[in-house]
This record gives sequence, C-alpha cells and structure tokens, in this order.
Amino acid sequence: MTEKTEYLTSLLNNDSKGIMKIYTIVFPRVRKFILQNKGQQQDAEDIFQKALVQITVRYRKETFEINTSFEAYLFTACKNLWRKELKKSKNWVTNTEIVELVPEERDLALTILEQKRWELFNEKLNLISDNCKKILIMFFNNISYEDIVKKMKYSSETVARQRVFKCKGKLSKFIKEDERYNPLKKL
Amino acid sequence: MSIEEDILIQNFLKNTLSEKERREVLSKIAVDSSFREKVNFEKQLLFNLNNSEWSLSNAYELPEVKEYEELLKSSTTQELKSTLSNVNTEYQNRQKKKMKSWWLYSGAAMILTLIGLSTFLLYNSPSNKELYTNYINLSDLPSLVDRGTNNQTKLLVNAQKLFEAKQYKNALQILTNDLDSIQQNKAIVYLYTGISQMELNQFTDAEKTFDKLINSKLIDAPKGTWYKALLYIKLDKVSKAKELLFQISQNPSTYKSKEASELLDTL
Repeated sequence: MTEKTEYLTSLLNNDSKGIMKIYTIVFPRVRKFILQNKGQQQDAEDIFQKALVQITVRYRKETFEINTSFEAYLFTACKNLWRKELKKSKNWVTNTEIVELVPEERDLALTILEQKRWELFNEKLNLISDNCKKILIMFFNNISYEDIVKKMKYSSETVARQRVFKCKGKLSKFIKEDERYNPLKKL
Repeated sequence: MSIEEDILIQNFLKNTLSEKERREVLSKIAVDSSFREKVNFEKQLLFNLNNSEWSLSNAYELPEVKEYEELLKSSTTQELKSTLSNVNTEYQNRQKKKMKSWWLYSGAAMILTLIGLSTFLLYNSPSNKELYTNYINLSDLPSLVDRGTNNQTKLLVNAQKLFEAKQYKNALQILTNDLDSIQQNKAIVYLYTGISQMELNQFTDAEKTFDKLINSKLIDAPKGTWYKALLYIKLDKVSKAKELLFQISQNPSTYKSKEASELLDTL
C-alpha cells in the first residue's frame, strides 16, 4: 500500500492511529501557515479537521486522483479553506448587505465544489506555455502593467495588455472545453 | 470578446471604474445574459488565480451539493468528525506536554512562572466557571439595532447575527472595526464587544472595553460594571468581583442588582 492510499484508508476507516500519523506529519506546517496569515491556534485546528472531512467525503463519493503527495494535497486544501475563511470575514466587514449564515454542512458541501473548480483552473493553467502562465499569475495577483512590462521586457503596456488578453483567451478555452467545468459554472 | 470589453470587465472586477461607468456595467449585467456570463467567468478566473482571494459559490440547489450535504450529515461522517476531534485533542495535548518539557529543561524561573499563570487561567475552578455560565445569560442583552436601514445598521445586524451564532471572532471584527464611528446604541456595542472578547478569552481587552463603558457618560454605563464582575468571576478573581457586585447590590435600581446580591451570597 502506498503512503497516499494508507492515509486515505485511515480516514475512510476512522483509524485513530493512522490519523495521528497524518497530524504528526502535516499539522505543524498548516499551523505555521495559519498563524502567519492572521489566524490563531484554534483556527488551525478547525481548518485541519475540516480539510480532512472534506477530502474523506469527496473521496467516499467519487474516488478521485491525487496527483501530488497526500501531504502536499492536504496542505493545499487547508490553505484554500483558510483563504475562504479570510474572504468570508472580509465580506462580513466590508459588505454592507446583510449576510446569511449558511449551515456548516452546506458550507462545506459548497467548499468541495469550489475546491474542485480551483483544481480545474490550476490544472488548466499548467497546460498553457510557461511564458503565458507567468504573465497571467502576475496579472491575476494585481501586479501593475508597468511592472509586467519591466519583468517580461515588453516594449510597452499595450503589448503587455495584448499578451494578457491572448493568454487569458487560451486559458479560458481550455477551461470551457473541459466537461468537468459545466457543473462548476454557476457562481 | 474584444480587448476593450475585456479591459472594461477587468476594471469593473478590480473596482477601478468611475461611479458612472460602474452603473453602466451593472445595468448591462442585468439585461444582457451573454455579458453577464462573461463577467462571471472573468470573476471566477480572478478569484481562483489570485492567491489572496477565493471564488465563493452559492449553488445550493445543485444536486451534487445536496448529495455532499447529505454525506456530511451522515452518521459515518459524524463518526469521523468525532474521531478527528479526539485525535486532535490527543495530539495537541502531546504537543503541549512536549513544549512544557522543553521549558522545564530550559530551567528558566520566569518561564515556569508563566506556565503556572497559563495553567491557572486555563484550568480555573469549575464552580466559578459554572457561575459565569449561569449568570452571563446572553438572551437578556438588548438588541444592537433598533431602527434604520443605513450601512452602519446593516453592519450591526450582521454583527448581531454572528454574535448570536457564537461566532464571536467575526462579530468582533465588525464591532472593533467600526467602534469609533458607531454612534447609535454605543453602550450596547461596548457590551457586545466586551462579551465577545471575554468569550474568546481576550481578558485584558475585555476589561479595557468594560472600563471604557463604565467611564463613559452613556446612560447604560452601569451595565458595564455587571459584566466586568462576571469577567472577574471567569478569571477566578473573586475578591475583585465581590467589590463590584457589592457596589451594584447597594442600589436596588441598578442593572442586575438582585442578581448581584444572589451572586455575592454564593461567592
């Protein structure tokens, strides 16, 4: 049995010993990440448990392929869950609309869908050329066109804008052509 | 999609349009389904590929979401949750022990004092904890909001909902963010803030908040004394709590005067 299967089996079988092994290997990294990103110990504990539930339930419904190590996959799932929490708190503080509190199970069910969409978008990002990927990562992370021009050594901002437009077009095509995107379309 | 339309959508999503342009985009979204689809897709791209964002979904009605929801509610998942919670407790206790051992070996007297202090705070006596729980009675609290529909009122409604759902951390974010600017029900805002801090074990902050209320000229200022007394009970600072309770019990018209006398007898 590979380590990946061993960890998943522990989760599917409620095996405390196996789950403790997962804690020992991955929790310290998750804790460090959350404490460095506006979180506290309790947040790290909650997020870690949620991520393990999320992975197990998803795997139980439809066995899916984990293309990295289990540790890396779990860490990413925790990072994404924390990004979602931060986004929700940002919305609570800045959004002047009255928020609707979603029951825990529904929220986690939606998170599984969001995580699937995130995985699909990132998988497709890895299919476009390295150059396109680099420019899009800068663009989506709010790097100014001025800085993109400098880093990519383009002659002008117009060239950079056209490049972003073309690369984004390629990425969008890859995503939309994949049938897995259809059920994930709805916001 | 043309490059011009793409730039317009990006500027809309990054919130860099003028108010007029923004209104035009919003109107187009409302009437033009193809444009709306483009905006939604660009929003997904942006929120999925920006490292500090997240693309939220509210597609509750999708059968897949419902299936996951059922699975999450199932007894199998509930058992897993319980196992995870037990493993988590065991793991965190082991870590605490390891940390304590490390401190012991380091032999620093000051650190030992700190361990003593944190143990004292963590494991305060159950009887005082029970008293605190019995008397805090959050349903007695007046509402944060009474009327109005302005933005501040909406934020307060959100804060109250989060507070009632015991999501104190999130409630606190709204309350502390806007504490200085909030004018309506200021005393109640102080109370919700202090209680949230108290529930989150942010005791020093809670004490400061209640002091602000007590020292204010607000009509509800005396309510702060009652909650400050409960804070001291939670902290096992019985003599300090008694002083405040005595003060409250002296005047029968003071907020919670009867409860203060009862508590004084029990303590």
